[in-house]
Amino acid sequence: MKRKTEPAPAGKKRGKRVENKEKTRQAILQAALGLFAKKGFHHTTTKAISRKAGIAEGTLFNYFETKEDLALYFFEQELDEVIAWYERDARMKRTSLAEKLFAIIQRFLERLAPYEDFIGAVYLRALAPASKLGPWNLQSHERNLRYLRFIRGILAKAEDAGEIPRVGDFGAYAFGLFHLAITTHWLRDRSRGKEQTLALLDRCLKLGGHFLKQGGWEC
Amino acid sequence: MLSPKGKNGALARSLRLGKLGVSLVGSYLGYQAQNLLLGEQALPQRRARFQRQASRRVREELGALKGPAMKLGQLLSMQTEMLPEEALQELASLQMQAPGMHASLARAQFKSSLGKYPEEMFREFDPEPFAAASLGQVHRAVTRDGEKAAVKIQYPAIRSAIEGDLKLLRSATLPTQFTGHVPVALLDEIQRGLLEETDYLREADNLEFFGKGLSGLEYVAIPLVYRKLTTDRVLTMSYIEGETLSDLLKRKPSQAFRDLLGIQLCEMYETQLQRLKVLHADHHPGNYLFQPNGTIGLIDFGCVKRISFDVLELRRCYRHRTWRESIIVRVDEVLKFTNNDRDTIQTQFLRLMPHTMMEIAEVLVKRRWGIIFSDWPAFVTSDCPVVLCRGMSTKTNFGFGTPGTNILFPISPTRLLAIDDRWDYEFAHYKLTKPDIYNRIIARAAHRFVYAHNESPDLAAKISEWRAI
Repeated sequence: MKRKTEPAPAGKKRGKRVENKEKTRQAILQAALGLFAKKGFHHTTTKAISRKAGIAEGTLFNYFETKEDLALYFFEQELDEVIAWYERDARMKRTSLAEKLFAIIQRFLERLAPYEDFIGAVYLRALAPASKLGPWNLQSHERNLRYLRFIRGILAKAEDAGEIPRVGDFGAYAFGLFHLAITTHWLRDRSRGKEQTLALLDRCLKLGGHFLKQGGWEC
Repeated sequence: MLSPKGKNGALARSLRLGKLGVSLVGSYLGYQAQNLLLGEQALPQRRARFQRQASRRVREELGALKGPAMKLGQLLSMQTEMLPEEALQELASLQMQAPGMHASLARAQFKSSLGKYPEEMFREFDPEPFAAASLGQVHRAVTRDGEKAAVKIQYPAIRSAIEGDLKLLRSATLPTQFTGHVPVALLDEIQRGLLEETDYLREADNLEFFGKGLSGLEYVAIPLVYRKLTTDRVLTMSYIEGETLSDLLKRKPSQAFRDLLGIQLCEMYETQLQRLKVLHADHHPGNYLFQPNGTIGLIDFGCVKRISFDVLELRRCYRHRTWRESIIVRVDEVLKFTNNDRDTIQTQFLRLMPHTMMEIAEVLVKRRWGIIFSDWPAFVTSDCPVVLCRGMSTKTNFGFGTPGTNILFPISPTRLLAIDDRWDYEFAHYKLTKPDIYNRIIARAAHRFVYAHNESPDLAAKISEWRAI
């Protein structure tokens, strides 16, 4: 799996500064997420966030211009976390492709669960063409590519092991769209414990696996 | 090519149900055509072959549909008077099954139901299931207190899936509902039964009820429920050790041990039937676990049958052919008037028959049994426990009535009496006790001693003697 790594900071002093900056970013994000989970995305003001993070409201804007920037940063963090978890988890090394993909989406959903309201609001905003969260935003696009490469790596391993036929980059794109669809379903799933989404996710992946085993679109 | 998704879609399911009817009819027509060509010779063999093929087709189609349709198959298999033996064998092998869950899904479903992951609530939790259960699967675990536990996890959203399928089943069977072949009451019964089976809290209640009810039988082990780790979709209970009957028999246990188990099984069954009036109704051999000291573990209480009538009375009537005796008395009366003319006796006998049936019906009504008279085979449900059928020629004649008369019971008499023949016939591969031991216990002992209120000391001694062997 290819992963972009952060360039190493030039000097020690600069490194310290970057570290501090990152700490503040984290503090702001945690404060914001806490408030989103408690009060909802729309009812959380930047003032409340800065107060909770223990910084001046003006400083907040140095880090995140809008709440969208905050969301963008949040998704970056989530993606990092899921990739790190996947690499770490021993079970994920040996299990079937269907379970791997299930576990990845499930991991995302589980982490998003406390901020459902926030994610829902972000979803709507992402539809606007000028939105930083939309697919046309370059930073957003980069994150998407990182995600797609991550999925592509998993699919490539399954291809090499003969578990599925060659699906190429298209497979990763298709899975990305599927992931989006599942998240949308999850957002509007009102069943207890969101079990409908679990069932849908499992069934779709099994059907997909079955379809690929039959020879996929080459049959 | 039909896409895999299409195979499981609602439309495709109705098509499958339709196809089942069509292919059966097609096959039956083929059989009839063959009849014309081949004449009467070899007819029985061909009929048996046809029935085997048809019933396999039923099983395959219903098995592919899963869920409610499968339940319909199971219920059909309970109506032992209606279907040929071959069909029964095929249908009995249907099991309610949910798709398997991999470890990640089982974990997620556990959290969705209990709010935490299994590893947060147990000391140990085996992510791989060790058994399939109705609508879910069972995992081994160790509780925080160090007790071994079995955790049954239900497939997510199975209840709503079943509700959807039931709607489909209702619309697919609409024509047969009009003709009365599949009565609405049966569909209601299926719905009730299935939805009950999806509620693990109810199963937990059942476990506790049976645990208490069978506590007098010291050799019965029933799992204890851990209520704090149980919801309607996750059931945590103590783990019962033991091996299945087939594994046990592989080790060739002594006849004395087999007899002991046989006696205990019968006693266990009879106690449920007569004292509790609730039966553990899932007689899957895997639900009985045997331990070397003779302890029998009884598991899986998802499906229980409540009995609303006096089994003892019913069985006595059936066993002693009381009804036949009353008919014989009538024949004797007829004899007095007819100077031993056999033909006349027969005529009189047949003339009296409907009257006798009515008498029986009256008796049943007095005992608050619902009765339906039907010229067609009808399904017995808890709402209409008894059905008298006329005009259908079936293989069993209960000793009264014209050859075509039949009475169907909620648990059919063959089931009630399965206990008599269980080792030889229903559970053909599990010959356990010698028939004579069996007869001794059931016909005399179990009847008079174990279940009658006045206990007979010498039989108690006898049983403890058998146990000691």
